[in-house]
Amino acid sequence: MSNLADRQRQALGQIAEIKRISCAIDHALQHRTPAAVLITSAQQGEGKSLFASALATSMASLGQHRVVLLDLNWYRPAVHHCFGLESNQTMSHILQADIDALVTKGQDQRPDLLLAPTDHRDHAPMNGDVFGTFKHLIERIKQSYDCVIVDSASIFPTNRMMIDPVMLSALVDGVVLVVQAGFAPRQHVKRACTIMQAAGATMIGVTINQHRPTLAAPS
Amino acid sequence: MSFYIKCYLSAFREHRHWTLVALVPVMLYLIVAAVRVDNFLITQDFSYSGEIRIAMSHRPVDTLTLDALLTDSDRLFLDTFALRQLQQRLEFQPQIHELPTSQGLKRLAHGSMHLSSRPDSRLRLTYTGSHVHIGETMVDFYSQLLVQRVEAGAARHSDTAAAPSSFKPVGPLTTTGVASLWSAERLPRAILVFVLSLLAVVLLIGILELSDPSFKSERQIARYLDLPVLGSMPDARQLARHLEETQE
Repeated sequence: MSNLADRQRQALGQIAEIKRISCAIDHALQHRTPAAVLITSAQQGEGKSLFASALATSMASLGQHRVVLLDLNWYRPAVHHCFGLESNQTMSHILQADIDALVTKGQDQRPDLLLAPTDHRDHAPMNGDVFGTFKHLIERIKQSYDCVIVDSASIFPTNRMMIDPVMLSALVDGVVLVVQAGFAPRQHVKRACTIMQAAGATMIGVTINQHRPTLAAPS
Repeated sequence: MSFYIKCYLSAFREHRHWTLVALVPVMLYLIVAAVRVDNFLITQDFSYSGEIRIAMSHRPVDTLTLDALLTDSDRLFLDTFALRQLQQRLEFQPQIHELPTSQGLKRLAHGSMHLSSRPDSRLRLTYTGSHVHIGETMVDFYSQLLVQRVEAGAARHSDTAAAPSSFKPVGPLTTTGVASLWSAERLPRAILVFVLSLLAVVLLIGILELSDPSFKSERQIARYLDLPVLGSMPDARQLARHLEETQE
């Protein structure tokens, strides 16, 4: 699983499409630095983590920005699979420790990573001001990096065991919605999009995952 | 419209292996047809001794030898008067729902009735076909007719010097069901079943594609969400496999 995801990330990072998407995001954010981008989707399993990893890899490989990828999908973390790594930090450590100590430094033009904690299923430490905690975390990270890519959970189903992407959208500069072709119902995606916009999120655009090549050209 | 056609063709390519399902009803039909008894062999045996003469219906004095009748058994089966009587008898059979026409009965008598010689001075009248009630009626009718014609022939050809002849049925008529593995009659039906199954699969793919609520194109997403589409990622699994192959 980890090996396949790692290869998928590498392959996606190499193709021009991801580079184009990163340029489009950069343009939408008006070349702002530091900038934070949230990656989410309407339903789980649409390829958020893979896309976030590929995007971070692609941006890091250009060598122009200091790029960090945050795995804030603590409901079902998957970024560590894409990079073949295992997290060794606890939640309380992530919420309190110094950024440099938390981040896994990337080598060979890989992005730096902040992986989900080992105890991500235990949400007891998050019963306080969650919004303030993550705002503080992202602000600290933005001081050290030019581009912060945040991989979050899906918008549906809503669950108390996850960090809400709608809440996170207020802490970032833009949101990219991943839609897997032939997977999520249109109504769900529309509803997710409406919820994000109602929460004041800056929607940068949509990325289609596993798009049908035969329907790629507009009809 | 072309969008829906493209969508359908794409869905068909995706599910093209489903067309193999269309072979299942054909296989089922052929298996059921091969196992099912759809052909019957109805026989009546006769024993005879002496010189048998069979009266001809259209000539009041002429008779046929048994060898001549065996060579051309249609002289018995296609006798016009006998066919008319057979038609009347079939009309009174309550089990027979589809009565053959006079032309059809002639073809049926020619194609399904056989008269053959057996060892030990025996004769066998046989019906081979798919209609068991018609077959039993025909064998019974031609058995009675043959006995009558032999009796009439003996009366016409009375020769005191010759040895006395006898001709009588042996036992009741027997009916045997036969299941055949293949018959050419099944081919058009099998093709029809296949075509209908294929149409059903094609229709099913279309219905599933139409009822699929997911997005089908970039343009559809852009219009529906009123958001720009930044890009389309291809299937990462294929890319990963390709990368693996090139690195090997």
